[in-house]
Amino acid sequence: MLTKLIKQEFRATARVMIPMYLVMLALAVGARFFTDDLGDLGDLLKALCALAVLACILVNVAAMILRFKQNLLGDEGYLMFTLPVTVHQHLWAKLVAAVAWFAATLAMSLGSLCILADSTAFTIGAGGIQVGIPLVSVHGVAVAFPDNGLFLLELAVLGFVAGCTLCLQFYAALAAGYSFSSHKMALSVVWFVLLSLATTVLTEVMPVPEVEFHNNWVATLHLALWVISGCTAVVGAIYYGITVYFLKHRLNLS
Amino acid sequence: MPVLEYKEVTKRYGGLTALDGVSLTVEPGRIVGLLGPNGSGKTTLLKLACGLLTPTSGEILVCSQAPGSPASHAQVSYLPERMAVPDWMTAKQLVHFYQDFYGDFRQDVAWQMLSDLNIDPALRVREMSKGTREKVQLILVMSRAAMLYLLDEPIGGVDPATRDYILSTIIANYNPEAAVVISTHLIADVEKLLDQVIFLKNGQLVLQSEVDQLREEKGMSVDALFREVFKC
Repeated sequence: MLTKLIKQEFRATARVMIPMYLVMLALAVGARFFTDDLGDLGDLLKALCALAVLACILVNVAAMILRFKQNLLGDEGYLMFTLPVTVHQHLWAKLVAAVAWFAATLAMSLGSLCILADSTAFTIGAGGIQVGIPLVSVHGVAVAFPDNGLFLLELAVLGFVAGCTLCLQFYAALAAGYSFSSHKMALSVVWFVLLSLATTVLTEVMPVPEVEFHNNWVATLHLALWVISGCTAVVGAIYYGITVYFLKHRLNLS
Repeated sequence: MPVLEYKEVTKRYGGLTALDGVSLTVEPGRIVGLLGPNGSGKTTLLKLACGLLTPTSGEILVCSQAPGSPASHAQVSYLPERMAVPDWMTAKQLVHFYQDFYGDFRQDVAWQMLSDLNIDPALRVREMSKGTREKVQLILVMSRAAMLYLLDEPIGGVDPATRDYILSTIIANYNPEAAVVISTHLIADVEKLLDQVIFLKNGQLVLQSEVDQLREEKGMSVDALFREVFKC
């Protein structure tokens, strides 16, 4: 059932995301290859493309939040919550789709920037995921790690955990706010602020392992990435618990 | 064994009591009319059976299971009073959606009903008229071979001719071992279908009776009795 829900999520969100990517890429290609012919208009196209990249990221986050609200807390909730699936499956389907779109947006944004920029100034190494090969080079200066594969894995884990936690903070606030009979959105905002404050306090008191800097800065960086991922996962798990509680026990569809 | 059972169920929304100690059972093979004026608790009663609400107190059993679990959802086919299907989907996509999620969905029945009602499967829900949307939603719900159908105002927004088709569809398509609970204000239209009626008033159960027995004892139709019981 989870795969069916995920398929449904992608189908629903692709309607927004795919056209947005196409516009962003078209702008980037236009700005890159027709700048010289268009003069000032070309510069405007470049600026528009940069704005489109920013807008794409914002729309991505907004789309994932609105999707949760509309699909589970709006009228569609009457259908979704009577499907033979669990609340956990609903949540994971949304999270997997959201994080996949975040990754796609990141890739498309970098792709657009690569198209837009002078190709010799900013390149991504093709063999970046292989051990010992430069990952990124900026203006010809290679940024290399001795174990790029592990580094990329750590970044992927952190990206997944951070993406899920970001979504879950909004989901928890919306699930809590929409459990009330009236002023649902206003109360969701209040919950979001309260959760943010509570998270700030929690991260202050959380017993985070000390990451000591020593000569082996690569090992330090690896350790730091795992610690950040772990702490983020703890916060995400709390948001997850709050969301599940409200969806299971305090669901209050209009 | 009852398909649906409420035991002393109370539901409060803040200070408002929507249901007050309701106990009732629905047996398999019965078509039950859930009747009552606005605000009497009919929709709340149905939403509780679907697990969309949690009772303040009391217990509900759907096919001997607590409502809200995937297993109970697999047994219940629920038609909400509002449009719940995504409006960007076409009727065809919705049929496939139901097919994906419900093992008891009968695709051939759905296609036949769409064809009978001249509904273009390629039409998006948002492009349909209000009546057509309601028809599509009802077709999807009635195309399942569920054990319990909970229909909240199934004929409220459609014309009389379609109403007749829908009612005959309900009779023709429900599993004979299943029960159907229909919440409606249009009592005269559904009366001929009903085996049993439940009257709700201010969240309390006023009456649960067999329709034939009621007509015999009171000497009047259910519609006439409703008007008498709920006279303003």
